[in-house]
Amino acid sequence: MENIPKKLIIICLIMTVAVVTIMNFSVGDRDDHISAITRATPTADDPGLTKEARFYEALDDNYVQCQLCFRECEIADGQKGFCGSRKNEEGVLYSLVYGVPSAVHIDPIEKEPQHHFLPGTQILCLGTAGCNFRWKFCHNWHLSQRTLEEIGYFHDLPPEEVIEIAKARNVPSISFTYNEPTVFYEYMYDVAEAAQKEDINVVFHSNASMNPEPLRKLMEHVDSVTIDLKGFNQHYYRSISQGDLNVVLENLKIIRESGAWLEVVNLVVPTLNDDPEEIRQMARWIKENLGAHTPLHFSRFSPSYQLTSLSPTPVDTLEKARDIALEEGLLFISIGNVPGHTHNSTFCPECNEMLIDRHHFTVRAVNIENGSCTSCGYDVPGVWE
Amino acid sequence: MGIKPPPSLPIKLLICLVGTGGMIGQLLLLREFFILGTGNELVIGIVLSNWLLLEAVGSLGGGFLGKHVRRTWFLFVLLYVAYLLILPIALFFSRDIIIRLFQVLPGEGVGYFPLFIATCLILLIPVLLHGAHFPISAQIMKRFTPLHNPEGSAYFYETLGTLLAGILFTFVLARWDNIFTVCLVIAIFQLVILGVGGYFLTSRRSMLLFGAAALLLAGYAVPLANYLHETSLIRQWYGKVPVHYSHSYHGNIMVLEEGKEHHFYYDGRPFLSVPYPEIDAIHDFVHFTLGTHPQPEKGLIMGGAHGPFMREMLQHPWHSIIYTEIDPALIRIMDDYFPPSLYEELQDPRLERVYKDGRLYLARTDEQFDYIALGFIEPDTLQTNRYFTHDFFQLVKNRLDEDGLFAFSLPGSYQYLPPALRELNATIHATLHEVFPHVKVIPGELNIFFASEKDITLCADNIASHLEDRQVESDFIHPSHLQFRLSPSRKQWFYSMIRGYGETLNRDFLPRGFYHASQHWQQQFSPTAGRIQQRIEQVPFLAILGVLAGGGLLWLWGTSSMQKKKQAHLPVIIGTTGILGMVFDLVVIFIFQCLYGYVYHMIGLLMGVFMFGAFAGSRWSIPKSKDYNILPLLRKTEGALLISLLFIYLLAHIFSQFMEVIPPFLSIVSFIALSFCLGFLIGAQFPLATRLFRERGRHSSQTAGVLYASDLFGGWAGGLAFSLVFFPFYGLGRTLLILALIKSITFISLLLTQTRGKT
Repeated sequence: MENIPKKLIIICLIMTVAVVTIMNFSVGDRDDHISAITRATPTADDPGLTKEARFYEALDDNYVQCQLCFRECEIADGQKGFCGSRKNEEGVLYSLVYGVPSAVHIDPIEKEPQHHFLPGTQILCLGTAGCNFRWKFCHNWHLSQRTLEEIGYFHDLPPEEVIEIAKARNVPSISFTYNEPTVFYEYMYDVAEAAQKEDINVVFHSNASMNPEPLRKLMEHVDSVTIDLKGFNQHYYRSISQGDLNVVLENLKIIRESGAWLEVVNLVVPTLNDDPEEIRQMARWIKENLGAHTPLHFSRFSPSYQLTSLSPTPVDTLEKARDIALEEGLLFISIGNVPGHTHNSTFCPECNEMLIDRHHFTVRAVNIENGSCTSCGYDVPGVWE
Repeated sequence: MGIKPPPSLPIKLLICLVGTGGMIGQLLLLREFFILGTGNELVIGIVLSNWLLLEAVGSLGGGFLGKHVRRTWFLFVLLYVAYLLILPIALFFSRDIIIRLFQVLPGEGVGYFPLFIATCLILLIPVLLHGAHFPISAQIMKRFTPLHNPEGSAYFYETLGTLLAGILFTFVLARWDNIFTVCLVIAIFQLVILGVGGYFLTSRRSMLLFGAAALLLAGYAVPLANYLHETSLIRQWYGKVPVHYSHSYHGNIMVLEEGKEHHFYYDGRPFLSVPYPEIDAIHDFVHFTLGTHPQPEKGLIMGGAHGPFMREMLQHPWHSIIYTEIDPALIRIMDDYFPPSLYEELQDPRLERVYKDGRLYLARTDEQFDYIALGFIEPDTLQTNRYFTHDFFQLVKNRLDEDGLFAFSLPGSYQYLPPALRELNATIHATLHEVFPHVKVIPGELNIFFASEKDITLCADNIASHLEDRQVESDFIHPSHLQFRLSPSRKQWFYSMIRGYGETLNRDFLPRGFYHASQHWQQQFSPTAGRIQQRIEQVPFLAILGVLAGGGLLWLWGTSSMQKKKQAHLPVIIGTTGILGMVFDLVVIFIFQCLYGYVYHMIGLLMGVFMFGAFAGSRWSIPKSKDYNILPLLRKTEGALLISLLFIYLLAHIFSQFMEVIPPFLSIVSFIALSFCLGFLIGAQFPLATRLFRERGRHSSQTAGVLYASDLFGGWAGGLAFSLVFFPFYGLGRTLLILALIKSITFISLLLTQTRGKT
């Protein structure tokens, strides 16, 4: 050991100690700046199995078959369905998201979008976790493409408290939105039923993939619906979202038959569903099956979720889509997600005067009185009071 | 007997060009993957690590071929030509490999795992071919020159070629927009040299013909390069042809045209569309922040604010606004594609464009401002993160009037903030609060942050009144919209969301903002990877140090008890040097990016100099390794490596703190010197350890094999761990601390090793 350069060892050790000291000193953890920030009311504890689900059938070997949506998942004991929000526990299917919304906000109703249902009013919006579709451009993917466990954030909000909040905040409508409300059907149904008793309107925004029976039952308590009709191509639905266009179309008819107000949104995604011929077929189908007065919104895509490098939809494409829908005889066609665009507003199909002056989510003027155009007296379909 | 040996210059030149071709190929592919990774610098670590590993495998394969194929010259030519042919093919497919391989949708992004797989596949053949060159080059050198150390000479000339490529790329080729032009020009040049050089070496006329044929091909190079460039971009951009595609000092700029619209992309990601931008976000940010300010007169706007953003800014009654960009080239290029009306509006005499990096401008200006804002940028790369650090906020504070306002935005949501976004917002909030006593936020799709030394009043009436007084026209600033955005319940919700998050401040060399933004990106594509990342985060730093220290002590005890196998610790020493080698290379790149933001341009030079430094270190130590007692020398290099960790840390902070006074030229020279010195230390150790290992009785080929494998595996693993985990999460200081601990253990093991003859 006498060959070891002692000075070198000492220098290196001193340097090492210096490195350790300086680096640890400099990293410096944050002071408690957040202490002044308001405490969160929600907790991230596992809510457990919150409510027995409706619309399912027990099978052999503790399997169950969920019959809420078109997927009709056969779920083994201890497993969850495709949506991640319904779990089989010893042959009983539970909703994991009953009464535990992860998002609760008050928004303008234009945000849904709903253009012919109480314009300029507010909605109390509720959303939970999970979805039964897999769109790669989902704007609310943080909620819809994750389970409640993954989100780890929710409000403990039973239906009666939702009603209380709406009343206390003087909000005329409750909306089930953000993620696909089908996956929290039981919660939505109970809130809707309670809301109806209190004369609070019920709105939901959906992909229209429920089975007919639960949908019909729900519609007994619903006032207005916004449906995403993402395209008019079965291959597109199947390959990109693992969905089913035929189911969506059948459900649109059921909703129309229910008497609730209905608006349809088509998100035009460049290169994926912007074929003019498909848009024409869609517009034609809407007119024939839902009626020419059904509002159709062509929404602009902007980079979202996993489609981060796809450029936004050219406005020209949206305008052409609108022209096609007009040619096919639809009466109320708007362009969404292009704030400031003229056709963000609603025009009278009779006299072409502006019925609702809308700027993004803000309603600046409503030229409708007693359901009629103030200019020509045309009866504008919708719910205005 | 009597036959004159061929001149050695051609073979030296050819081997030099092998190094040049390799480095150019590496840089071109690196940039393509950088764009595929949308500018995330961590991709550099993935590419360099995989390159290292494949190069090593190729080298082993080349060694095997060299032993079994007698026609080494033919093999050399074959590999040479094959590499030059395969490189443009690899570049061509690199642009759309993700689309083809993972069946992603047009415009779909990817996480680290697909990028990792894609880099492995694209690099596989060119890098194996290039790696196989080295042993064959050594044999060729041996055959054609009288040099007594052909391996060393081959290494020298190849490394020289690498250095020259780094210089050539940085000062000439980096700005060439068409990578295939770069690739084909270099290839044709190399093929001509191969033909001519081959003729002098082998006296075969066929080689001259070969060279002449290559020269004739030059006429087709440009059209072919254009064809490859355009076709590959069409494949990458789902059938669209970019109307503009260029490489600036800071990154890649592309413009796609669709009808009357132009979409601007930076490093593969869209950031602005005209004439229909995200106008609501622009109005909200500009008019909320300026509407909060009682009287903005002199403003500074940095990054992501050109075009419609600036038009809104100019509605306010400024005396002057200075506008800088993160990439100054963007300003000029965007001007060319703006609608004439917008372009005209931006010719306002109050607006002064400064074609400089914003942070550098801020560090060096003497001006004071009453309003400073960042445009729409996020800390999702190291390049942009340096605008959200404590160090930067301090610079802003120094240049902001006492009652001035600083504003920027971060990604948010109207509905729900996932954990990574909560961390990001909380981290930046806390960092800002550390510098400014008053910080406020308007939550939304974009969370608008306000900071000032004076109290900030976010009041709808106040904003509306200021905008009205200034006759600002905005369809968005409507009472109901103000009420919606400034709703107290939404504000309360936001703060409840971020409470308990953001425990560590975002600093230049502890880029937590960048880490959380990358984490958010990662969680979009792979929740599983996101969960793994979260698990890693939960491991206390002291636990890592404890495990390393404990493991190190056990290892020390184990190796010291193996009296007859003391050399067993050498592979570990070399393995850890391999880690340091890769980490040092990346550290220089990342520090440069954190401070200056244009590593996209400088990376060739930094890497080339580092490799040349490694070569110089090995040349310095090879003669010394023949000395009787090399253990003290090995200890010295080990100690020097340990000291260099402290040196890196200090130097990085000196540059960060004194950016305003250190001239740019001096910064670049210093980084080059740092690259060289670190490379030197790494390169110096390998020959010494090899010698010691051999001296202790191991067979020569086994020596090289074991040590080489340790070195490479260490480099590969170290590169990945450093890029993906340690640097972004632990930052420079703690990463160096981990390395210091590892190296201290191996250093102690060397101290405990007895010198030869004393056992």
